[in-house]
Amino acid sequence: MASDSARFQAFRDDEASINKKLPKELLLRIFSFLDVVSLCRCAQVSKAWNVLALDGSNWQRIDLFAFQKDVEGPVIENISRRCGGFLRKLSLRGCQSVGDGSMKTLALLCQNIEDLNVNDCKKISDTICTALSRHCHKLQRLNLDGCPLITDKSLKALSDGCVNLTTINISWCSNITENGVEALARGCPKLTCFIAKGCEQITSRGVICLARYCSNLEVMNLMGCGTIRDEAVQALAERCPKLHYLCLSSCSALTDASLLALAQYSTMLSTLEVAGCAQFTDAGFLALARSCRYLEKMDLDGCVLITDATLIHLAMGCPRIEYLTLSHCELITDEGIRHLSMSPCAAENLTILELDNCPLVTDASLEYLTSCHNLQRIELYDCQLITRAGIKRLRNYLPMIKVHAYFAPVTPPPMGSTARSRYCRCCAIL
Amino acid sequence: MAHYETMSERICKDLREIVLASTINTPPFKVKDFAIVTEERGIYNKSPILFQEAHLGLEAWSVDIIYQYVCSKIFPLRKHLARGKTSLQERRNLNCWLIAAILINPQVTTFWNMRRNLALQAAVAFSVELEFSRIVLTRNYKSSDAFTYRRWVLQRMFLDETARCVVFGVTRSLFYGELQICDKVLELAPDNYHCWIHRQCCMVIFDMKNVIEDTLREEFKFIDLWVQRHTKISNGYHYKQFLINFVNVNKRYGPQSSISFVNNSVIVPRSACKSVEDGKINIDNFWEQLGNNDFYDCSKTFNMWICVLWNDLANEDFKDKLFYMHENFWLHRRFILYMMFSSIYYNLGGKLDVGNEVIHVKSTLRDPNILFTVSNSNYKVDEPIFINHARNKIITSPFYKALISAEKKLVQKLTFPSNHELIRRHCSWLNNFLRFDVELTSDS
Repeated sequence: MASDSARFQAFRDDEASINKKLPKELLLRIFSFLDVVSLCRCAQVSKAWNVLALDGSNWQRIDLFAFQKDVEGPVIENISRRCGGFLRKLSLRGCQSVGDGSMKTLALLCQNIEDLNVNDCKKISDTICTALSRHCHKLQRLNLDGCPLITDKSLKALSDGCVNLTTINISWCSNITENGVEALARGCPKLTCFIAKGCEQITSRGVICLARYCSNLEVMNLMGCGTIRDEAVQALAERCPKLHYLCLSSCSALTDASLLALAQYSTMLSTLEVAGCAQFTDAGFLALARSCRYLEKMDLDGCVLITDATLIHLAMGCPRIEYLTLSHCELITDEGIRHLSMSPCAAENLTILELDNCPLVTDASLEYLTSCHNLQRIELYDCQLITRAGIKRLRNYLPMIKVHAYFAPVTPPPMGSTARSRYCRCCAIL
Repeated sequence: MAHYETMSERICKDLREIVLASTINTPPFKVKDFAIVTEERGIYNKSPILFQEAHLGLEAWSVDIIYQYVCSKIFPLRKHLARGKTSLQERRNLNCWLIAAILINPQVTTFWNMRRNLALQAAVAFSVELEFSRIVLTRNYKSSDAFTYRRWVLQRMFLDETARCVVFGVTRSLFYGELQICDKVLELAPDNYHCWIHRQCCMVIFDMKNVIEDTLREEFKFIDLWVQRHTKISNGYHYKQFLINFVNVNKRYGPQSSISFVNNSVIVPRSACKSVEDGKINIDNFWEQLGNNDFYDCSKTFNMWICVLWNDLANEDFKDKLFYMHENFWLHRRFILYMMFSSIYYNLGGKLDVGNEVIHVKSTLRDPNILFTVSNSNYKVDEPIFINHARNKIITSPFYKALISAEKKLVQKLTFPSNHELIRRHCSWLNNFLRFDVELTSDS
């Protein structure tokens, strides 16, 4: 009885023992390691905890992806009121119900925000960028991926107010044109990462402006910007020596001149994705392989003109290659693979090799590849000269490898007639 | 096994691409039909998807693997999807997996329901869904789920004002598309109950959109031809009765607007004009024969309705002997007679539609299955249907007499030894049910 009354006493006073033992500062410190859900749970324990758990200092980094559609305007407004200047990083990825009004409040109240992600918030429009540029001058990273209402106005506003911007993602904002990009380039010289997948209205001029004003660019993704021509890539290569990631997939107007420029200036390049650039030939890759020694990942999907020569040069010049995609390169033969497998990169680094839809590759290639000890995955879809036996031999040498091919599972051999007893199990027991 | 998972994933994606491309409607990408092809088990390292000359096929060896894979992926996400708690990527993947799953096994209603969820969450376009269910129907033409899903999609399209996909021309082409699909499926299986139901439902769905006024004529023409070709399949009669009821019940074909419509599109082309009793009675003058011209004026809908029925009765062709050997013919005839007399009776029995409104039809008469209810009863009704003075009025009318003599003649003409039993039943029905005084003549 005595202990019971003591417990009640503890509840009544809101002085549970943990609160007595630990000072508030330590509790706050502990709370600062919790995620959103746990914090909200803690906030329901007692009045004291409520105050501590909802303290703005615990809410510096918030990711609401797990809630998505449940997140609506009032939620954002409450958060911005609670966090105020504490908020550094907010991710609203997939929160489609969020609109302009609440985002304006956010920009007004949380002026120290550095990283904002509104990926797939389809309702937000240019007004949010205007508000951000007016109030949040510390903004460094902004992700507007998949917000179709965003136009050039946003980029112009950002270039006025957010000069510290280093990373911006405007993928699939199809209303953005070269004018917006030019304004951005002039206003935000610290830009290091520019991602604009599927923005078909960004032309060569936009890219040239970026190259001219933002010489710190390291990561550049222009996938699907089909109007880009060689002069853009040339300017990029000349002006941005730090470039190490470049994606030009589906820019089908590019020719070898781009590759030559990259070879000449961008020697730091580690990732190059040029899927679907069908005009690239061996000559371009030859130059590239000679100078870009740090290449680690290359996606050459659909570069239909390249032959074994490219592979030979890559094998000699780029010892760090880990990930090589040669899908749909129909001229590749066993000879190319042989050179690749003899190269230093093959023995040490090569982990993923994609050869699907290379019709000339045969089992001999697999024989050569047995020397690639690090190979983890190989794609062989639609290589019709590859046989089951060849894959089996490869597996013998590299037991951990994942081989992807269209082969049916082997049918188990028919069971011997003696394997089954004549009686079912229950009869046997009886 | 991990290897098969990536392979299945790839195949699912390829299938989705093909279905998407098929929506564009240009010949090289339009999928004509889908089938699962039995071939030697994957000897070559080649995709099991075959797509040649617009025929889509999936090699049988891959079906097990793919189906197991997609099921293992789909079901864990079912509840999340229903509650709208899936990410964009998950919805995209689900779309791929569901396409493969349904193509392989369209009998699973859960898959279709999940696609409904996807469509409601705007993860898939309605036009793609129509195309997809069409492809499914080319293989599994008896899949009731596929038909139901199509109807659901159509209704959604009409409900969804924001989609703005439904303008008049589009609606019309959609409707013709549905009819085409029905025609194709019916060629494969004339007794496809689900397809007939679908056709009926389409009439009702598109009726709201004001499309079918001129297609109704086509439908009557179609069903007449069809019934002549497939005598033994009762679905056709069922549909015909549906159409008759449809014209009757539907308010859109009410008094003013539709008199000319029914006259021009239903009666005239059908009746070019057959008459009972060697041309003595035709449609134009039988109302005069009923002896009531005022009546003619005040309930035109009713008149038209009778005309439609009359046509059907008079318009039976005497081409094929087999036609009359089958019970369907007689049952249909009874249906029409019954409809005719019931509506006359209820009109004369104090419910004349003076206000030019659609006549009141007893609810049982709306039941398209009346043909069978009538045939299943044993004809020996204790209480005759028409017992009051209205009945006398009918019986004494020249219209009634004309009908009696027409039926008599028909019975005499069509009595063969092989269908003696059918005729006997018909006569006893006429006697007991409509108080017709038709004797079965023993000659022939």
